[in-house]
Amino acid sequence: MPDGEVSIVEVKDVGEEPIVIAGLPDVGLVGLIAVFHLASKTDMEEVGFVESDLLPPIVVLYGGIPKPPFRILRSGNLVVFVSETAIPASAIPKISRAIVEWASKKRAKLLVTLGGIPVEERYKLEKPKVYATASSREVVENLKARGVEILDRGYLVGPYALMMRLAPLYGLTAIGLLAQSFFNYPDPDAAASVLEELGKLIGLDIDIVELREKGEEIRLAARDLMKRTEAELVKMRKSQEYDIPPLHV
Amino acid sequence: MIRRRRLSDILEEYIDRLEEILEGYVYDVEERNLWHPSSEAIEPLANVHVEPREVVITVDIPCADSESTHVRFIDENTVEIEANLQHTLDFSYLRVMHRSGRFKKYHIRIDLPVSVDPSRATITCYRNILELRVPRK
Repeated sequence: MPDGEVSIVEVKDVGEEPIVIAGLPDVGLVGLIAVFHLASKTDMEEVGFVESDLLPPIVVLYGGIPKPPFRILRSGNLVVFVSETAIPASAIPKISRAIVEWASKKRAKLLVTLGGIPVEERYKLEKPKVYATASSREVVENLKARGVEILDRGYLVGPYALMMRLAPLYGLTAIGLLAQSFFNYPDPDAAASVLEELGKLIGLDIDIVELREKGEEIRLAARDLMKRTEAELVKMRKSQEYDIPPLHV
Repeated sequence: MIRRRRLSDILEEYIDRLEEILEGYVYDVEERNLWHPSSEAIEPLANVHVEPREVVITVDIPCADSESTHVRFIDENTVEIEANLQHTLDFSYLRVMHRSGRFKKYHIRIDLPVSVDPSRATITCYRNILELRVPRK
């Protein structure tokens, strides 16, 4: 593989026309925590991984076996991209494009990105609200009709911003689900909120009781990855998500 | 002879300096070890927000006994926060078997970018996120 390229390696069948879900390390590790929980509740199996020299030279050990940190999991028609390492800010454009291209080649029915949108004083919110963004006006209207709140104005920064922008260019329908979240504290409650909304969206009953109950343990265990992810968030100027875009007159 | 510098040079120097500061911050965030077995303490994740009239410090202390929280101002610019864990933890709790050490508490010392009045500090805990509000001097 040439330097600086991203390759998506399939080791098992990924099925036809999947729903592709991205749970990448981002604010509050919301997407990552959500897809790990989803994977455990739907008995997902590993079907591939993302390979690139743009990623840090890391393996994650499970039972003594080295695994690539950026893996593809599958259960039925759900295919999930999950990364257990912070994605370097410099690698985000190529990795985002590779995922969108791959989803397009697989004629994905839908690309869903799960994540958080940072809000001030998040700790005062009992249950974080979920907002959606979509790749086309038609999908936005459809979501509104289903009672989903739309993230009407604001900035998105990072891999999901690129995926949402690229998806329509590759003929994909993409929906971003973003829960109000902490910026740099792991946020399992926000992950539970996005899973609840994802369940409604794709018609899947996802048990989130355990996720809420084990929230504090998850917060404790995810601190180191949160710290590494924060460093990349700073590099990609993620705090711009707090900014207010100028008004169009 | 005094040589006048071009505005573009000054701006370039300024941007280089900002990037240096940013890199330093990123390195500090990324490489600091948060687990301190020798003092049986875990360093919590924390944030400091400077507002016009006060400084708001938040500290993430999952699995802590929030009643045990102890806040001590060392001076007008430095605060130390401790909270006991509900149970003593070791690395095996996190399924990491090759490291040894146990942890009884969270501990952090935070340098504040502005002076504050510790006598008027208020502390609130929301589901083990500690919020400390201190008026600026």
